[in-house]
Amino acid sequence: MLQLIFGGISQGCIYGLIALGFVLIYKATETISFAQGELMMVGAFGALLLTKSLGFTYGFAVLTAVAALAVIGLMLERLVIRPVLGQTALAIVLITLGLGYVARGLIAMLPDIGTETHTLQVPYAGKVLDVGGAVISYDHLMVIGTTILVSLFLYVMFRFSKVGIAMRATSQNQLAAHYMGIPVKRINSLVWSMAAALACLAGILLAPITFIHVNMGFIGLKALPAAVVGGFTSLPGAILGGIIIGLVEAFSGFYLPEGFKEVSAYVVMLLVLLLYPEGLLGERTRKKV
Amino acid sequence: MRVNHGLIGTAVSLLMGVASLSAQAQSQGVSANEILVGSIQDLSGPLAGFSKMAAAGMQMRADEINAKGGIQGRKIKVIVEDSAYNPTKAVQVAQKLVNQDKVFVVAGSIGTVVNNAAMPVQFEKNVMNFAPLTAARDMFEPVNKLKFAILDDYYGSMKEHAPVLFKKVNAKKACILHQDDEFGLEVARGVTDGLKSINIPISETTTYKRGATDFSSQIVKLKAANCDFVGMGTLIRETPGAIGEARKTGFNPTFMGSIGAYTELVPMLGKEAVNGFYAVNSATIPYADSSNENVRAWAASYKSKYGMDPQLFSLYGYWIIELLSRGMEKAGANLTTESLVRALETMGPQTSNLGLPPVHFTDKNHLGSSFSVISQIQNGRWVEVK
Repeated sequence: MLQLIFGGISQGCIYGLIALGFVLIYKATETISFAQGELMMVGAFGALLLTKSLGFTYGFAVLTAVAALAVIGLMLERLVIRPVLGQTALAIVLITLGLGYVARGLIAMLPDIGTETHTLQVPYAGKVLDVGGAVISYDHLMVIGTTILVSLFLYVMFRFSKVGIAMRATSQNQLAAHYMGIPVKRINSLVWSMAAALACLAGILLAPITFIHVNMGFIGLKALPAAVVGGFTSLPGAILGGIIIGLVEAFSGFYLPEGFKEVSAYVVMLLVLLLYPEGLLGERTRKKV
Repeated sequence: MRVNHGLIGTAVSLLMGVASLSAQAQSQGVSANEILVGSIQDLSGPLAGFSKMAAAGMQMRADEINAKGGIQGRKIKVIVEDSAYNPTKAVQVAQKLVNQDKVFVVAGSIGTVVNNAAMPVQFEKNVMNFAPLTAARDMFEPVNKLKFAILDDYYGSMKEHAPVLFKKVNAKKACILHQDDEFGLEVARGVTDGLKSINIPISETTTYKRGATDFSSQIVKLKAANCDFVGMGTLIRETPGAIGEARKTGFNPTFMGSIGAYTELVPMLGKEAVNGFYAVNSATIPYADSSNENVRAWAASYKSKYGMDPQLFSLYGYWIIELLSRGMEKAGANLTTESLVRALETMGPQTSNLGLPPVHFTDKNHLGSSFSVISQIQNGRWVEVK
């Protein structure tokens, strides 16, 4: 039982970290980036190349990869997304889907690396902790710990820092924020950059558990229900949604007949949409007519 | 003079009809100086690690044969298409190979679902499916003149070896973890029927979808059932993924995989966690420092061609083109699907000095080899156990 809870929470934290990216981008640009999973994959490959080919230490490789992905996110917003702003949300959704395809294609083209499955050497590989009869591995502890740290960081940033407050203002009303002198475009770039960096972090944390390969980004399909369950506009909601999905998967895999584990995430999403259309922690918006 | 257009038209269409009839008598993909061989591989999905090796091995043997003048003066041209281990895409690329490239034979295609999806497309155009890289029974049953297989089947090999290993390790309780598709089911049925023969029931069965990465609840389920023997219908990533998860949680039963899990990639990815893992195998991995000197020489020439050590699937690819070429050579100058079928069925046992089991097709049996043994990962390397 305890084992299932640990497994579910750590898997859920991964979903939550990716879902955070979905929510950040949704709040800033009111669109969904379907390239989050692929950014995660690119980030994991980045860390792999840095450690294997350039001989970076694990910690340094993680920092460099996250920074590199932040730059990639920034450039994506500037070069691909900004030119189509003002178009329908569908256009941006399709562009991000296309970006995902391109990323998978480009990585697959890397000679000797792209189509193989790899392991990322992590300093905590294979270590476990015994908690009341249940065993929890350092891989999973790292995921949970990092998620807590990231959540704290985001909370502090959005609550107290100028940039964070500007981001919140922008997400509430871009035009008003612009009139108040907030550099909305720059804020949007920053949001995409943060989302990409978060995806990279998720990819690196996931690597010891599921290996690194070109299709690892498909896990983003599970993070989407997490974001929906959480409300799509709420950062704590994304984490909560992720953990709920992770736990539901773990328990349905154990107690329900075979096959339910894989669909449970989507069943939960549908239930939440039926009962709480704004998600569990989403903003309640009412338009007066 | 009045020209009878109707008559001329009839004559022309008759002539064209005769021409197309005579074209049909000769198989597609065979010209005066070339034989087209198609192969459906997974270059971008979970089996890409196997497929790249298989394609390289096939190309290596084709190049060697072509350098010596080819088969009856015809060069072998291998055309590889990517299915991404997806049956829908497999149908599309099979149509391309059969209708656009017009290949003579499809050989060494990887994956059970892929082959099952592609075979109907091929058979419609009388294109043989030769030596697919899957050990499912569908590859040779029911007997069909266009189906030839060389890998001992998952079902039969698991049924044969699971009870032997179960007794050898003094196991008490058996469970199964398998991929939720035709491949995984074949392995599961083999383990179930094999253990039934020694009156051991399966206490727990749990599954996952192709491409799954999280095995935590499956492992908790197996652990809760107190199994000390787990038959695994898993492939490359899922094997170390599931065993790694089990080891972390302190669950250490005897894990036994099928031919599908006998690959260098499992110890490479799983590291220490997969030491002690058993799997069935028919061919032996061509380690560069093998005790067989022919294998060592072959591995060296492979490395000089591709700059890396060969893997098991390189050897399979090489062997598939070798066997096919022996059949085509025997079929003679008038190479058609029918003459190739006759040649394969009558050419007797075929042996290799590269650690591969002999292959023998007859008109009644299109599974060329039903030889397999059990190997175990010891210190990161596969070792045959007696």
